[in-house]
Amino acid sequence: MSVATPVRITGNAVTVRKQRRSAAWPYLFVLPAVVFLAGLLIYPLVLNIVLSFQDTTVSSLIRGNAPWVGVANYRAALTDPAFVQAAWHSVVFSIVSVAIQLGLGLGLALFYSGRFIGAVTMRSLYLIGYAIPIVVTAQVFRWLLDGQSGLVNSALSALHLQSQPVYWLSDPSLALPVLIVVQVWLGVPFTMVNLLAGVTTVPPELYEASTIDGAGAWRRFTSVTWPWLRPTFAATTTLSLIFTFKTFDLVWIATQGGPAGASEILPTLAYRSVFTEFLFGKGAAILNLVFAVLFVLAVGYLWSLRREERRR
Amino acid sequence: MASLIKNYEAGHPNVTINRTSIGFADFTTKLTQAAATGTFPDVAAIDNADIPLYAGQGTLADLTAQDKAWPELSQYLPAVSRSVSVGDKYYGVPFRSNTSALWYNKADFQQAGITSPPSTWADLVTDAKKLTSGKRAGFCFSAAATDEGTFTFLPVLWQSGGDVPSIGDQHSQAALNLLNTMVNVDHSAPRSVLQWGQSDVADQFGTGLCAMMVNGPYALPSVQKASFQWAVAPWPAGPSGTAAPLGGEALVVGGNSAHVDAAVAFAQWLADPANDRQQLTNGLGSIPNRKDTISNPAWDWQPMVKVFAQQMATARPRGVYGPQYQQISTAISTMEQQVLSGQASPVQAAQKAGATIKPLLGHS
Repeated sequence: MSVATPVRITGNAVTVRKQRRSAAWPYLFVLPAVVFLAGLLIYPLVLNIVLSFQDTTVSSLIRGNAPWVGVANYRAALTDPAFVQAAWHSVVFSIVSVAIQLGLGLGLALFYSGRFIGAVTMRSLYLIGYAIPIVVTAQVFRWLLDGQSGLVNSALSALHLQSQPVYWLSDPSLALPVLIVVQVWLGVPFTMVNLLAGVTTVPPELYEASTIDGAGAWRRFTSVTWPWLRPTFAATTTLSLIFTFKTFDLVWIATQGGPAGASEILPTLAYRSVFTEFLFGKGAAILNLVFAVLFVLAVGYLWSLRREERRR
Repeated sequence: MASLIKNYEAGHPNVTINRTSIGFADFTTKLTQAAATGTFPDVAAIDNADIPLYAGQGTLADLTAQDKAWPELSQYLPAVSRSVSVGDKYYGVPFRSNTSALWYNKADFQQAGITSPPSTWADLVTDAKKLTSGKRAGFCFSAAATDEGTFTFLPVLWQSGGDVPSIGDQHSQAALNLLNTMVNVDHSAPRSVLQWGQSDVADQFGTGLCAMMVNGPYALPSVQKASFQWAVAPWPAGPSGTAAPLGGEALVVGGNSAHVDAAVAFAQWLADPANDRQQLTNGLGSIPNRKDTISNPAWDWQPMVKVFAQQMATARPRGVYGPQYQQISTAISTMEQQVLSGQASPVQAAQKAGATIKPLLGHS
């Protein structure tokens, strides 16, 4: 081709420009993602941190002249007995429901990893529960568990297991445990699917070899399945903890944190502070504390992912 | 509402109205966001109890001059015109009002041999007990952990002779005692009231699971589905007589609005029943709130309206408790929940709430 000659003459300049351009190109490609992250993640995070150090009211939100109050909002939040109670509920709610979720999820994953007729269909059915919006699930459970007209009480009294109606969501000692049960119902499909994916990656030869060596079912689980599954298990645990710790809709719809704060968790307390009591600074402070916990969990998750990659 | 706006635009070609409607549950959230982002509308219909909050913060335009020059204002019931004022200033135009009253199932009453609705607290307690059987509760009300719970508790407090600033005294304890007796002693009201909003209560009544309920005129759609005969009666009188809460919205103008005069003119036109009575009554489910409409049969868009109008004469606004009303409201609903869930006695809960409420009153 005749085009080749002129290019060779200015060869030097072309290469330099080409190099410069190739250094800029990759950044240009990630620019949309960076703008997106900055606009939708970093900006609100920074704004929320700023808000938590100001005495913000409805009008100073408009004018942007809220006075700085240092850590007063954090002090107000941390010394509020409602905060201490909600923080404790959040920890109990997250740890207990994730623990039960993982136990059930693991059992189901091992069960459905076996080959039997209907295994695939049945495990797909679990995902239906997962696909229903939480708003719907929470509302349905609220009806089912209603002490006056709920199906659960009707069924229990028809079976003569109950003589007096139990007010599942209106009883201060039952509200949080019942919400944990519903949260487990919501979370089990996620843990099961994740753990099932982990279980299916175990090479079948390992099972064959260990069976030939005389390992029983328990030994096969502890020496073959578990070591392969552990990284997936760690990742699933962290993700479930993150999802559960920031749960809001289930509790808000089912009990609104009641009765008298018995099922209040940090996200519902923050929502109440900001949107019903207009205490913007206090709400922001609570949410930043929630964020700090989630951030630590997320770092733990990334660390466990990296460790897993390095091992492979 | 849409047809009201269309009529106004037809008569005022230089005015264009863009209407956004927001569900009740999201309303304060959305309006606060609008205030925060500087997109507060020219005209908004807000809960009358929230006026001091927004007014104290400068979000609303001061309409004192315009309201005082408006001949219609003096027609409104004192509680209604008071609900749009803060101190000696006006920040809104009264619009749609409602209140709550006692709804009862006539068939259940007949079956229990009760000839007339309860007119005193004592009657309410005995009738509720008589009407409770099997699955059916005698009395239902909202005691949710939200302002819906407070909206239902305040009239009981006022009927007892108490008031918000003096919560903790024997009147407030008597109010809590009344509800506690029905929920935890007689079991004539289910404990589920702690998680029921007003629409849940309406559904329970509509399906025949409650013989009596306390609710506003907005419960009508759930009740109309019922196959039984029902009627509405005033709240039973406590030691201090009957009393009811003033609900409903006032029209306000955004403090940053570039069209304050046009906005006020539009708000006053919307509120004036002379312009479109049909829309204000049937269309918006409003209860008469003016001296010239309260006993006007033309306003009885439904037989129950007569009773609600009678109750409206005893209605009291909630905004008088100042810009921190919503925090006070949380303290009140928490107090009620503590008692009804058995976590605290009426004395303990009332004293604790009183201590929480005192510093929240009045100042901005």
